[in-house]
Formats: sequence, structure tokens, C-alpha cells
Amino acid sequence: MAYRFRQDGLRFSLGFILAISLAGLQFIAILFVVTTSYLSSERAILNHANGLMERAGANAVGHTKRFLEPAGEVVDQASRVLNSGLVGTTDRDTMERYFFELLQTESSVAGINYGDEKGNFVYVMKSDGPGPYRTKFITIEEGVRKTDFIWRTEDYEIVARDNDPLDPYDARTRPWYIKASALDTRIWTNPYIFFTSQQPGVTVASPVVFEQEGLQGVVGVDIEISDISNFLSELQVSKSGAAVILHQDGSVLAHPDPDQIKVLNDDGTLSFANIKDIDDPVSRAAFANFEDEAVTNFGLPSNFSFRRNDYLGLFESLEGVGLPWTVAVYAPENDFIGEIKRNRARNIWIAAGISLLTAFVGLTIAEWILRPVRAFAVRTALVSQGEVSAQAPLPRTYRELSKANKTLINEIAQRRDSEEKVQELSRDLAHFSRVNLMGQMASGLAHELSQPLTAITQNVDAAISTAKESGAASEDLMLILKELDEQAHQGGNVVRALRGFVRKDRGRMAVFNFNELLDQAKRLMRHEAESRHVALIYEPAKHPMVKGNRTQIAQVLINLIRNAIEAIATADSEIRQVVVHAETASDVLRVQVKDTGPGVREGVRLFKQFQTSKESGMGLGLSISRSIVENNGGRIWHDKEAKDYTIFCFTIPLETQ
Amino acid sequence: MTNSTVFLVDDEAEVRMTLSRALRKRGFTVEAFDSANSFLNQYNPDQPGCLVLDYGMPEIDGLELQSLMNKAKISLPIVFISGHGGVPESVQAMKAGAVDFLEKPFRQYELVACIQTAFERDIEMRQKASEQSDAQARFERLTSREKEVAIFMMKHPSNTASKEIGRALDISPRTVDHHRARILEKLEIGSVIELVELSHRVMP
Repeated sequence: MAYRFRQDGLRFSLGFILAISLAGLQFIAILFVVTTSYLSSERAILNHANGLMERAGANAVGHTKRFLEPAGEVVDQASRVLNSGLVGTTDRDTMERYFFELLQTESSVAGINYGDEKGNFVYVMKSDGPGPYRTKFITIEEGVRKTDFIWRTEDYEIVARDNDPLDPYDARTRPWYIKASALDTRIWTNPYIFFTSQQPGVTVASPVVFEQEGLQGVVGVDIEISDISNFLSELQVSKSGAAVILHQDGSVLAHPDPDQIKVLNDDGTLSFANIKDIDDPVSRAAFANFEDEAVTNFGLPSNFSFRRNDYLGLFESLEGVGLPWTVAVYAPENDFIGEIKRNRARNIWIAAGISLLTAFVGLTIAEWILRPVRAFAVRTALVSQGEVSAQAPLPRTYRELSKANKTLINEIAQRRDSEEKVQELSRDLAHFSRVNLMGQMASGLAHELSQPLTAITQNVDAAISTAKESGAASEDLMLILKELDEQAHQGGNVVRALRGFVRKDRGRMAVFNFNELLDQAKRLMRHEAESRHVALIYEPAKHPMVKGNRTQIAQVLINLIRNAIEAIATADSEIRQVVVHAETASDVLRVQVKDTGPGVREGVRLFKQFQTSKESGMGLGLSISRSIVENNGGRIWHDKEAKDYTIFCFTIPLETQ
Repeated sequence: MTNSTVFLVDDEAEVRMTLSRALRKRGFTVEAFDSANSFLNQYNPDQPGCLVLDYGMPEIDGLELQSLMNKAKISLPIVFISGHGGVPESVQAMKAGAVDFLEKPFRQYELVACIQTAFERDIEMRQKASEQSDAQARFERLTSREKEVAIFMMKHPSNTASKEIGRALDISPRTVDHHRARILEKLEIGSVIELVELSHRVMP
């Protein structure tokens, strides 16, 4: 008799939901914080990186300028001195000495020379040996060309001499000479590899012009730019960042690795490597945009990707100095934000770990939260099985649940109680109907016997009268008739005794709720109704309490309902309904039992004993019902007016009566 | 008891037949009916006598017939005979004015005694009723003013002086005297004391 609880609620357990939602929320929250802090710090660091790059670029530009400026000053000074005639353009010894002095003051200058229109040439330069300085003279005297070399010490002492009659050099054919004399102003040549030192360099040249005579020659200062490469290699843009200087035509002028910039030509000469051919893929990628000289966004970030790594890039122009050069600075993004990228990955792992931990904590908490709920579930099961009384104190639980708990437990207990009450009623009814049946049979017999006994006594009385009238009243006859009368009355006494024996017991009259009784009766009859496919319908309503013998009234109700069900089943009616309806009528409750059966057969005297239309019936049901109802102060009748239904009605006095 | 009739109502044919025969032999006039309905349809209330009534009958039973008759103001006395013989039923029958409640089978002398009692009661009641209607008829002869005076005297038997009546009804004592004489004459009585007695019969 255990009640089965419906399982059609939520599919997941409370614990599972709690764990998942706690862990999920935690994970999302951590992920959110990690991502936003990553993004904002990435932005800050990249901004900072761009600043660093700009500084590195500006540094490279400044340094390059500073590196080149002394050469410009030297050439300006030399050209002023020569123009003013302080040093004569033909006085080659003074000129040598002057150039020597200048060379000593400026360490970055590699050499100073002067070539005139006639082909004479003075060139003082730093040398590897036999002395630290070397002078080259080319003199043309009366069409004869002479080339002399003098090596000197720091102190201008001659160390060695030499000459080379085959030297083919002619300054007038050199680009710096041609350009300066043509433009009549100070010029910078394109970088080139110096003939003598084989180092990359550049020459700044200025024409020497006398006011009267016009152009005399051109003074030039050579400056080696391999030092710029050295500087770049020392310039720490970032851990693996670098700066490169490029000429307008794509030649690499300076590179942290100085060896990269020179290429040996087929004819044995050296020239600058083009950025497209350089053995440095990152630089190539950085200058990919530079190909068509499209880089005009000097000073603005110019980012690029190489081998799936993002690089920050920046271009600075040297145009301001008068050089068509560009400084490019680049650095892999990861040099700056690599650390926080690694942090991000680590943080996500930490988030996942914390989420797992939270899920575990969630499960534990859910387990803890659920314990009282589970205890309650166990209790309901026990109560429904009758192992624990509903009145026993409930296990401790949450405030929200305790009220529902109480209601549920009480409901279960009530159901059990009402089930027990139905069983009790059923037992009472069985007992009552056995006793009642006997009583009814006895009282029926008594009634039936009293009629012929009455007829006998009346006939005796008539016989005595007749005998007296006719005058034939012999003593014997009168004695016989009197004895006959006496015997009939003795029979009457037996009948009376029988009647007294089964004297109708009104039993215990009590005040009770008819609806409750109706509900119990319906439950008792449910199987019978279902097995005969009859719908047993009743509308519960609020009625005043009634007064009577509960078991007896139940007997009547069940008897009427059973009759109704049997009538429907026997006739095999199409509509199979038994409707029980109760309503208050002045001081009684009127109960109707309607059925869709065939109705009462003509000629049957209802409520009389031994009158029946059933094949296997004694005809006592309605007669018993009638005596019960009347004993309880009510009436029972068959409503002959009803058309669609067969209706039996009975009344029960209300409590107020 | 000369013209009184025993009306017998019983659904059992045997009982009906033997009982009416026995009573006839004893000199009673008997009319038998097989149901309450057939009795109600055929009975004329002017017929004196009594009703011998079976308690247990289909449709309208004895007690129901009794209450129907009480409602219809048919005052025919009733002797119940019953094959059930329940105490509650008999108590109810007696309360509602039955002469007796006999259980079948009963001693004939008991029934006869009951019938005699019932006849006497019937005759008495009919006499009372006729006197009452007679007094009523005489009272109806009075004019409305005379009725007013008469009713006042009936209600206040201690204040029958003409002055007091005149004051109460706002008429002169002389007129009251005049009305009083007419009242005694019309009601065929000699004194005001008789008027008070009559009043009990007219307005019980």
C-alpha cells in the first residue's frame, strides 16, 4: 500500500545543478577578469612599446645625424679655408698639413681630399700601415702624371714613401666631384664602398670657387658608415628587435650585422646589398612595404607579421638632414607582451582549476543542503508505509520546506487514515448486512405470517357469529372455535416474539459528514463499477452535517449504487453512468442515485420484501433500505417522473433537527 | 351507532375480506378499500363512523394517510392495525390522534372496543361541529356595529357596562344599550354570561 511518488519533476538532481552552476559561474567570472586585464595590459604595453620604438627610431636618426654632421662641418671649414686663400689651392704641402690636422680632430672622418680642375689631387686618409696616416698626391706637371704615397705618424713624421705610376685615379671623374661642381653647393654622395678601405662610406663634397677665376676644384670628406652599423647593433630596441638604415634605392646602408650589407660583384668590386636580397628575413618582411617607396607614414607604427609572429615596426626619415635615407625599427610583439600572453594562458588554466575546485565544493555544499531534504523523503516513504506515525516529530529541515513537509506528511497520513476508514466501513457493512439480512428475513416472515393469522382469527369470529345466528352453536363447536382462535393468537405471539427478537436496532446515531461517507462508499464501489465499465460520478459539495447511523446509511447508499450498476450491466446500456447527487432540502439532505439503466420493470412493488426483478436476488435490498432510512428518520422513494434516468432518492435528517 | 360505518383500508385482500365479513356478522356497516387513494376518492366527510387502517401499505401508508386527513381537516377517528408493529410508528400514530394501534393478529374484542370508542368520539365531534356552525350562523346575523359591540363584550367579560363600552367604541351608552338588546335577541340568548359561553364555541 505504499504510495508511489511522481518522478516527473526536474531531470537533474539539486546537487548536480548547484555544482555545475557554481563552477560555470566561477569559470566565466575568472575568464572575464583574465581577458579584460589581459586586453588592457596588452594595450598599455603595446603603447609603451610603440613609445620605445619611437625613441629607438629617433635615437638612430639622431645618432646618424650626429655621426654625419662632423664631416659636413669639416668640408665646410675646408672649403672656406680654400676659398679664402688661407691655404693655396696649389700649395699641396700646406694643404696636406691642413688636412692632416683636420683629420686628427675628427675621428669619424676617414679621409679628406682635394681635386682640382687640372687633375691634381691631394688625399689624406687614415691608414692601417705602415703609418696611421697616408697621403696620396697626384700631380700633373706638363702633361706628366705622378702619383706619390706618404705614410706618416701621429706626429706628422714620415714613415714610408712610395709611388705608383700606373695609378689610374682621376678625381674629376668621381661622382662627388661631378655632382658638387655641377650643383655648385655642398652635396652628399650616395653611399659606396670605399676604393681603398673597402668599407661602406659616403662622401660630402663642396666646390672651391674663386670669385675671379671661377671653379678651382672640389674638396671632399670621406666618412665611413660601418660605424653606424656598429651603433645599430648596440642600439637595444628590445630583446630581439633591430634597426636598419636603408637608402632610397633599397640598398642596406647599415645593419646590426655589418657583414650583411656588402656584396661582392662579379668584377671583384663591392656594392651594397639590396634589402630584397639580404640574408635577414625579418628585415625583408619589415621592408616589404618599402618596395615601391610607398612608405610615407614616417613616425607612425607600421606593424607586420612574419612566421605567425606579430612585429611592431616604425619608419623614420632622414630627409631633414638632406639624405634620402630611412631608418626602420622593428621588434617582435612578444618581446613586450610575451610575458603577459604566457600569463593569460596560465590564468586560464588556473581558472579551470578553481572551477573544478568550486564544482567539488558545490557538490559538497549541495550534499549538505540536501541532507534534510533526503531525510524528509525517507520520512514520507516511512509514513506512507505506516512504519512511522505522522505525528512523530519531523526531521529538522529548512523553514521554506518545513511547512510543505508538514502538509505532505499530514496528507499522506490522512490518505492512510481514510483508506483505513474505508476498510473499516467495509467491515462494518459486511457485519451489518449479515445481521440485517437475518433481521429482515425474520421480520418479513413475521409480517407475512401475521396476515393469514389475522384472516384466521377473523374467520373464527365470523364462524362464531354465524353459529350463534343459526342456533346450531353446540358447546363442542364453540369450544373448537375458541381453541382455534386461541391457537391463532398463540401463532401471533410467536410472530410477535420473532418481531421482538429482531426489533429494529436504531444503533448508534451520530452526527457525520455525508460527503466523506459518499467518498468512502465510492471507493468501495470503484472496483465493481470499473469491472462493469460504469462511470461512478459524484460532485462533492459542502453540506451541513447529517445525523443518523453512519453504517446503515452507507448500506443504503451502497445498495442503491450496486443496484444501479447491476441494472446498467444487465441491460448492457450504451451510456454507462451512475450519478450520485446530494442537496439540502429544508431540514433534510436529499440524496439522488441516478443511473442510465433500463428502469424499474412494470409490476414490481418496490420496497416490498421478496420483490425483485433480478435473476439472483432475494428482493430484500430495497426493503432493508427502506426500513433503515425510515428508522433513521428519513424517506426513500423511486422518482417515477424522471425520464432519462432511473432515480432513487432518500433523505437523511440534518444535524440541526 | 346506528348509521355509523366502519371504513376499512388494507392492501391485503385476505385480511380485508375476512375482517369486513366478521365485523358485518357482528352488526357493523363496513366499507372496505384496498388503498389509501381509493378511500380518499370515495369517502364523503359527512359520513359518520371510523377508519380501521392498515399501517404498512405501498405508495401511501397508514401514517401518511393519517397526516393527509389531518391536513384536509377530515376528523374521522382512526384505529391502526399493523403487521409490523413498531413502537416508533405506534407512538407517531397516537400523537397524531389515533384511537389505538393494534398489532396483527389482534383480539376481536379489543378491535370492537376500539371501534366503539371511535364511534363515540366521532359522534361527539360531529355534534360539537354542528353546534359551532349553528352559533356561527347566528353570529353572522349581527350587523357590523353589533358584531363590534359583541366582540368587545366577549373579550372583556368584566367590563360590560354600557358607559365603558360606549367610551371604548366612541358611541353613546344609549346606543350601546340598544345594540346589546338586539344582540341578545339575534343570538337567541338571555344574558351576557351566555354570550361569553357562546364565544368559546364560535372562537375556540
